[in-house]
Amino acid sequence: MRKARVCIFMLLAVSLLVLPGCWGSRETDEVAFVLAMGFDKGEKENLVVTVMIANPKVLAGISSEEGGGGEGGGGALIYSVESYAPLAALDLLNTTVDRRVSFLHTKAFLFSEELAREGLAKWIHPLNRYRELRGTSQVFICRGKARDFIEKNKPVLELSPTKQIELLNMMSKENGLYHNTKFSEFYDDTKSDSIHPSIPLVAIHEGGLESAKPGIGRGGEATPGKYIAGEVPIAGPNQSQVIGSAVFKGDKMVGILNGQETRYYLVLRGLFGRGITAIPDPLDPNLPVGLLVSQSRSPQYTTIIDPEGNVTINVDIYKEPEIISITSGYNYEDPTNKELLEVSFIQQTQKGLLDLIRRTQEEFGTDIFGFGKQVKRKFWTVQTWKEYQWLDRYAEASINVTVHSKIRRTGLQLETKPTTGGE
Amino acid sequence: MINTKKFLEFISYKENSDREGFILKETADDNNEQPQGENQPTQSEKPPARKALKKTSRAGGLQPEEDQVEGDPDAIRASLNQNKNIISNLYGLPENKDLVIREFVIGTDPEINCFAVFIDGLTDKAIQDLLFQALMLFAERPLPKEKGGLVYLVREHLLPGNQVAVKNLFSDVLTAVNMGDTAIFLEGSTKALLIETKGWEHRGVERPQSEQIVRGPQEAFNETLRANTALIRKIIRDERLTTEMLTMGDRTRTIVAIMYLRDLANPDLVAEVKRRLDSIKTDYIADSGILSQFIEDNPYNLNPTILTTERPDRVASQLVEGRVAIIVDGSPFVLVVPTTLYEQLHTGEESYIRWQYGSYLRYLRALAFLVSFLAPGAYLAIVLFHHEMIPTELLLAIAGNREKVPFPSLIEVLLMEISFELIREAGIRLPGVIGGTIGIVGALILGQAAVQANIVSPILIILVAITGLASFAIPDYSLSFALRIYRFIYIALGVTMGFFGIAIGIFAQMVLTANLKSFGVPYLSPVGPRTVGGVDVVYRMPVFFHEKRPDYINPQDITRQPRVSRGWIKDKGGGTND
Amino acid sequence: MIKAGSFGPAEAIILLTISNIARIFLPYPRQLVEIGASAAWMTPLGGLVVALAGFYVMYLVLRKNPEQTVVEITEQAFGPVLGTLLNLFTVGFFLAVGAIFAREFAEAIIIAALPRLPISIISLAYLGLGVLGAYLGIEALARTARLAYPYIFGGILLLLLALIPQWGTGDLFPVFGKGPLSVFGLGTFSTAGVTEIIFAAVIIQSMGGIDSFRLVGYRSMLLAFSSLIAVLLVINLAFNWSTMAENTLPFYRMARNIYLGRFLQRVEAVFVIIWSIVAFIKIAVTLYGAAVALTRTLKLPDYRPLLWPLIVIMFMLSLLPPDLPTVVKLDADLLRPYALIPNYLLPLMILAALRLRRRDPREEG
Repeated sequence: MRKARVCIFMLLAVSLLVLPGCWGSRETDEVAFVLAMGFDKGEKENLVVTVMIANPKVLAGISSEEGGGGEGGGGALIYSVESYAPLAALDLLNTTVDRRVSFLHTKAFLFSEELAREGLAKWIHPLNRYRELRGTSQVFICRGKARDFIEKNKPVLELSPTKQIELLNMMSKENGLYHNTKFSEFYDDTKSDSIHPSIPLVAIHEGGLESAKPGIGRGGEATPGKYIAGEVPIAGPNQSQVIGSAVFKGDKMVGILNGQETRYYLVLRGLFGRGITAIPDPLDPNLPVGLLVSQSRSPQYTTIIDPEGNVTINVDIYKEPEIISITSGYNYEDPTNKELLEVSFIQQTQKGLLDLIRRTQEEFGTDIFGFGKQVKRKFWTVQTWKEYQWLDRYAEASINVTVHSKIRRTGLQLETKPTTGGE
Repeated sequence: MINTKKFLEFISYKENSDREGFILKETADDNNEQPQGENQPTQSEKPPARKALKKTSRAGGLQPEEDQVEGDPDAIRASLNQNKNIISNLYGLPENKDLVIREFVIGTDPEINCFAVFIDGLTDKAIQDLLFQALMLFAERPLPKEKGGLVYLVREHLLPGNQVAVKNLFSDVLTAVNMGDTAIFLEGSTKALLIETKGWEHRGVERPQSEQIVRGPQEAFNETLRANTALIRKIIRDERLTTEMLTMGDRTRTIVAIMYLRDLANPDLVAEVKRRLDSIKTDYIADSGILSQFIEDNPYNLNPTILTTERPDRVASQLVEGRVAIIVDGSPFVLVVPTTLYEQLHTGEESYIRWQYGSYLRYLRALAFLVSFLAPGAYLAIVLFHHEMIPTELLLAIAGNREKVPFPSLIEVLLMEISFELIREAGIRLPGVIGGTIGIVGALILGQAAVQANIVSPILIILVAITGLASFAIPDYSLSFALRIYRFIYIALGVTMGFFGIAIGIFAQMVLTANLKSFGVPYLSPVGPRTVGGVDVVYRMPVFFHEKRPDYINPQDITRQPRVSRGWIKDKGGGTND
Repeated sequence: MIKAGSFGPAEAIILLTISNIARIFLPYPRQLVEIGASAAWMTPLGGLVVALAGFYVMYLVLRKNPEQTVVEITEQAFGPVLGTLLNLFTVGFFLAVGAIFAREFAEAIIIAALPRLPISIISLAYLGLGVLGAYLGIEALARTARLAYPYIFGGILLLLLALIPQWGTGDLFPVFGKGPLSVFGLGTFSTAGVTEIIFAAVIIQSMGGIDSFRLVGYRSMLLAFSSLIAVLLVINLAFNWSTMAENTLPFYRMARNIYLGRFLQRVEAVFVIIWSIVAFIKIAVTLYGAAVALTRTLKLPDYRPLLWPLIVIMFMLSLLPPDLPTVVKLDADLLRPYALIPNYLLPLMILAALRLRRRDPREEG
């Protein structure tokens, strides 16, 4: 009896070493972690899937050989596969990658613009179902090829490329020039009956400063957000850029918003954190007044549906600018003059918001702002709401925007004295 | 047919199984000064004496006695020579060199022949010198007529000893002599004098070895029973503190003391403790550790259900809650029953420092409790099954560090855990001076070298070190052992089934532990089952809130202090500025 | 005699609550989202009222004979043949609950955490621990529940609070979701199917008798249903109901969506521990219920010898359905209506039968 017990115990102990393998345990050095996935339209098959696989040796600082992997971005290896579906690529990849490819740590999905314009539904369904992939991953639309972007993106500051993605996500609140869209949000919105999705744009900017647009004195806009990804005139070690948004109707991409429009979009959704912008000086339109704008409270909506089913939505926007520069030197800090600047800012913002709404209504026909979520409140049941067909009626809705704005602070200065030299 | 019956018996529940036997029933609250409590001492003092008599007489009777006369063979004879022969036989003289028979003459008028019997080494020589001096040199009284009064004369007029007893049975004499007393036989008397001369070599009261604290008394029990009871009584100077003695172990004849507060401890509890102790038949009880294994409720569970401590203040604090302490002669560790898991995680120090610090310590210890058995198992579950759980950078750091390691994670963990356990064990066994250093040096050098040789990854060293520290933070030595063994079970579960395995372990451990009882008290009270009085379980409320004794012990008096224990906050009298 | 053990109302409440909230972790909330859409959180309201009423009716039944359990009362009311049949029906109900929950939990573990662990191993683990729990008795189980509950409820609460950044009131509307009929009619029907009323009536002698029955019942139902409502409310707040209704395991999906910055995310594996512990308690409790009900029906001296046969039956039953969708369908279409019979119909029938019996002799006399 006792011997039998000892034998059983030994058997159990030995099985400890044998069993885990067949019950799905994997050592970390048997797995290749995909950090980002890119999807392009394929030449012969449907899809080119590009994966960025982490190289843990570099991250642990023990990779001595082939240090050339690139400055900073060396923590990753990039593979592309042409296949008929996103996950079919997984097994194909394993024909060349000796470790099991795992999507457990995939932080970003990049779809090329070309693919997005054809519709993403058939690609995102497997991504939502497969357990290794997560809804908290970021989604980006890539102008140009996603493969090129993944290859050329070199986050020099970061040891691990995923940190770049997570930090970008946080920076959205800091500058408002792009939106951060989690995969689950995007997925939800493609199926929603009250909102259309939108995704931030990324691109590689080839070249340097020559893509700059004319500034305020030369007939251009004052805001820094007049660019979309791939156009921002930056020269430096990393050429990747995130700015602007792709507008979707259902799962199809229908248009692009530039950085400033994205800011207006975020303001209307109440997601805008803060950002530096400029408006023309009310007294001298050739000079800018720099403002650090933040949204003081989320937008307030009033919805009216008349018996014929026409919707009127009144939106109240609350913004608080802080002066950061007055080029003209005019004393806008003075409470009496401040109003001038405020009015100008309000007009400018109001116009921008209305222009954007009109553009979405007329040009795209998509409710990316989620006005539907407000209109929905007027309905009692899902059936009547579905019958109402809001997303089709969005284009006809009349939407009014009122901006409320007060300049609360003026930075470190309460006055700008003119420089003496010039006169 | 018989087989099936046997089988059915085997798989079916046996009625009245012992572990269900004793449940500490609720008592009426706040009924202090119950008459039952007063009866307690008279009832309970008898059994130990009777027991001792029975046992020793059996031992004495084993010796062949050729010159037996009529009457009780155990009785002391009138003839000095006969007595001497009997003693020689009982102790196996002259081979047995421990026993000394000193013949002498008391210098009275007329002189009396006597001999003294004692065991060399167990007696105090200074006292003995005094005795012999008094009897041989200073005794010059006339002898009374009646023979029976001889011993009383000697006792009352001649002997200066502080405890002198008169006995007429050899069994009593043997017991006393074995304990270090000196027996004096007088010519012509059927009684012997027993003089207290105990004085063997022993350790003094030192600092606790395994339960050090910073604030609070620094005394520890030692191997002497009387010193130990005195240490407790020194703290509880209360006439209701009762010490009962009984002898256990056929060969060791160890004296075991039960201490409790007569008007506090639940009489059922005291009776149960005595019932269990009385029922034990064995030859060797040298330490409270052996005794505790005889009387614990669940010997097959890893968790200890008896509190062992070497700190008198700890025992005292438990006694005033209504518990019972069991002190074994020769053991510096005192048992306290009943106990709970939460008690075992306390040190007493939390009460000596302010309540905020005490609570902080408790939470820290609760964390240590979890880490000490869960950490390696959870680590393995994560790196083998749940890669998605840890932040990417951390995962890649772990993965990167593991790249050069040739072993699977399990082997890696086992290697380090076992090395650590070895260091721990060796640190205790190594002779004094090296012992302390080997732990630190061994761990540092071994860990560093193992990492440099790429045998384990650096993250694992951190993990094992933290686990080790956590298990050292568990104040109870036995509990810490249990957790160390649990740790390996969790490693096995984590390696085979990931977090699901860990969940299996946690549930099984919880059910099994919740099923435990310590002398009729659920081991996990007051949390499972929930009872009132949770001011001092995990968090510790300020002392003036400790109004009730723990409910699960069902003491005779539940109230510890009035609702307002700080009288000064009520009466705002003197010393103010009004 | 049956090892009854005894425990206080505090443990009884927690035990029944944990037994009830086990369904939160399963595909069950998905069904409620389907029924209620944007008003999913309202669906349990009707069920709560019905469950409270059910406890009251059961109380009326048990009051007839405070020394005994519902099993004996059934027999007194319907006579030995019909009564025993009805009691066997109750036993069957416990077995069915245990089997379906064991299978669903096993599938959930495979889907969520350990995709390559064989289902037989997981089922064996569940059922083995079920036997362990039931063997040690309801007292140990109740204490375990009491020990585990801060972690279980704390975990759920933490999960719901961690989703605050994703809360938005937009998806709470339209207010009545798929219409009041669906929300309150179908919703009540699907949420009222609890196991606890009959279970509490079977173990009544262990949990302090008739005196605390109502208190325990009401409190546990309030606690359990408010947990369910809280979870559904957060589902409605943080997710689009139409995509939530796609998910096999809504609770798991919620846990996966936690994103509180770079470090605090990816916590769903921790919830696997909470789930599993709830599952172990649930299965042990149903097994205990089945065994004790059967013991009392057959007037056996002890329930423990029955554990092995019952667990084998439960294990077989749990592996019978071919796939997860079938199990989910069985749960929704078979188990929930089945649950209504012992929990609500049986006590009403007993009351009616007892009244008839009492009236008969009076008329004769």
